[in-house]
Amino acid sequence: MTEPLLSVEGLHTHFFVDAGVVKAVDGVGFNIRRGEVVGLVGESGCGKSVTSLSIAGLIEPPGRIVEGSVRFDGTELVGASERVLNSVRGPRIAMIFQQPRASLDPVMSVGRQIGQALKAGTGMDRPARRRRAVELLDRVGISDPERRVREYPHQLSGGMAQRVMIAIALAGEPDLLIADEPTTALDVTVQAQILELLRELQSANGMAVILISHDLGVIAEIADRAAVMYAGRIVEECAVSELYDAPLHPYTLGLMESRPAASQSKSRLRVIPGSVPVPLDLPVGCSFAPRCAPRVESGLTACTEQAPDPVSPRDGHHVRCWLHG
Amino acid sequence: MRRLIQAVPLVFGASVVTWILIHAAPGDPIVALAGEDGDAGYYAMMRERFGLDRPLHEQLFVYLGRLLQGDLGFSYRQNRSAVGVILDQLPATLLLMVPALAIATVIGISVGTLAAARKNSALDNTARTATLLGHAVPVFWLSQVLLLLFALRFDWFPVQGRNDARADYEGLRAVLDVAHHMVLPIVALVTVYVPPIMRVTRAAVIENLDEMYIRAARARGQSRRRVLIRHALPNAMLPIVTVIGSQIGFMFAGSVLVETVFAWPGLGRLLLSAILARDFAIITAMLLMLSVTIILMNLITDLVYSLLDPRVRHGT
Repeated sequence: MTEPLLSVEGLHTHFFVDAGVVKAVDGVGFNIRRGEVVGLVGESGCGKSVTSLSIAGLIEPPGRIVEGSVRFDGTELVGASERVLNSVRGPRIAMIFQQPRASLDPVMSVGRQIGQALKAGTGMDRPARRRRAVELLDRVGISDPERRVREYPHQLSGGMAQRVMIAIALAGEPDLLIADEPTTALDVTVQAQILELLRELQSANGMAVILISHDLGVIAEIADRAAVMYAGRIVEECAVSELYDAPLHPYTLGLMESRPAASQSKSRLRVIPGSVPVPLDLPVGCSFAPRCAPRVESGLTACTEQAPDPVSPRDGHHVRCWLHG
Repeated sequence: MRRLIQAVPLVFGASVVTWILIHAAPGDPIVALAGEDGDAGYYAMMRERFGLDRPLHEQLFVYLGRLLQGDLGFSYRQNRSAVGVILDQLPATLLLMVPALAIATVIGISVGTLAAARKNSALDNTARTATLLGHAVPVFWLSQVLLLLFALRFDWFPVQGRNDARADYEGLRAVLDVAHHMVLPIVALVTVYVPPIMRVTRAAVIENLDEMYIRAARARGQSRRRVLIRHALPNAMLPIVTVIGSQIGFMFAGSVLVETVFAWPGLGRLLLSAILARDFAIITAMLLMLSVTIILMNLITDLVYSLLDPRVRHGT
């Protein structure tokens, strides 16, 4: 098997704040092959976004990658110089974000922002960048691109702004697209359109995608594999179909059961008891133990004593849980 | 345009208020003009000639009537129209203010931006301390210290005035002579102009560096420096322009003190001597022009807004 496009190992990103050390990402590891779509699922604050920003080297103080490795196409990105990172970000690893309108510079025209990405990626001259920007807007399904290219972000709807962000991301023909909650802030109908666009562009360009979402439905739409994050760690990782059919981790199970389903509209929504642990004060042992019903039933003591290491009960299916260890 | 029309009653109101304030203040222009031990008959004649013998409300109506015709009054002291006197002195003041403001803008914005980019660094702390000092030091005191130190002690710069009265320079020599005289007053003015500009720049750039579009720009390969100059600074320009615009009025006030200390023949010194001489026409005319300037600056600020920010341009 060839080397993966992206290989994250033992990533620890901590934030050093006055109140103490927030271990936002605490030992995350996964691989992504070329052209693969991986979903990263979890609740707010579980470390999904920090993981993606760590990959792109965009962690700002008081945050810092304290340990671990991010290898992208043979290049180590942790500790790499700004020059190296600037040449990777954009042309090779592109990102889109949750709030597309806020992610566009309000005083710079759409065309110039796409142009920046083109310049970084291809070194085209100005007229060529202008033409390409129009093509890209057309490619992401924006009507009247000749006019839109001169417009400013406040003149765009949220959905259109996300299409522009995708156009910017595509400008350098990246090998990897990190989409951080790309549809969360959008209307439901627009969400579906954006996901459809992402899926279509992914299969056409063959780029790998990390799709970050708290919404299992979104992950199911387009991901090949999924990784479930909880309190700064990946607790389960497997093919999407397997995650749906046979989840192993009690947390994943809880997420599945707490999804509202049309068929059971009358019944009460199932919830996971308790709440996400305060990242300043993570419990000893498994972070999920305090909320874990199967643990109580099984009477396992290891859960509250030591954090479980990942095990692979099935081929390509990794889980961090004493119940399976 | 609508703003311009709205400004008319404002200017009118301001001129009434200044007129009343000045006439309510103690002091008699005729006594100031003719000396304290003058002849009573001479006083009466002068009063009648300038209409100062009439009741105050009548004087006010006369003043306003003339104002509506564009006549800003007559200087008893200089025996000519107030506007003429002011326009004579205006270039000298602009000669100090315009370069001082330009230098202060460049320094304020660049240092403020750098300080924002390296928040809490040695550079930032030095800049912030210097800003505080610049705010705290009275400009007339600073002017005098500059004068004592660099003009008297080291003799690097001339003490006072706009040019060397003993020499009769021509051409380039004359220009250099004036420039040499300009240095100290401009340094004093720059010291007062820079702090507000720097402070606002720093705060606005820091705020914008936290915005999501900064992270997004970094994610498409823009370097820290480019992000600072091409994204954070342009977005921070609105409050910077506001503070510069709103400072211009105060800048005239600062120039009164600086011009007085350096004996610079500008508007500031004119205003001071007009106040001392109870030269009502000059005082009211100057204050009126000052309020018009401030209103104009507000209009210009709005215009610059729409140039800088497409959201203002499109009215959203």
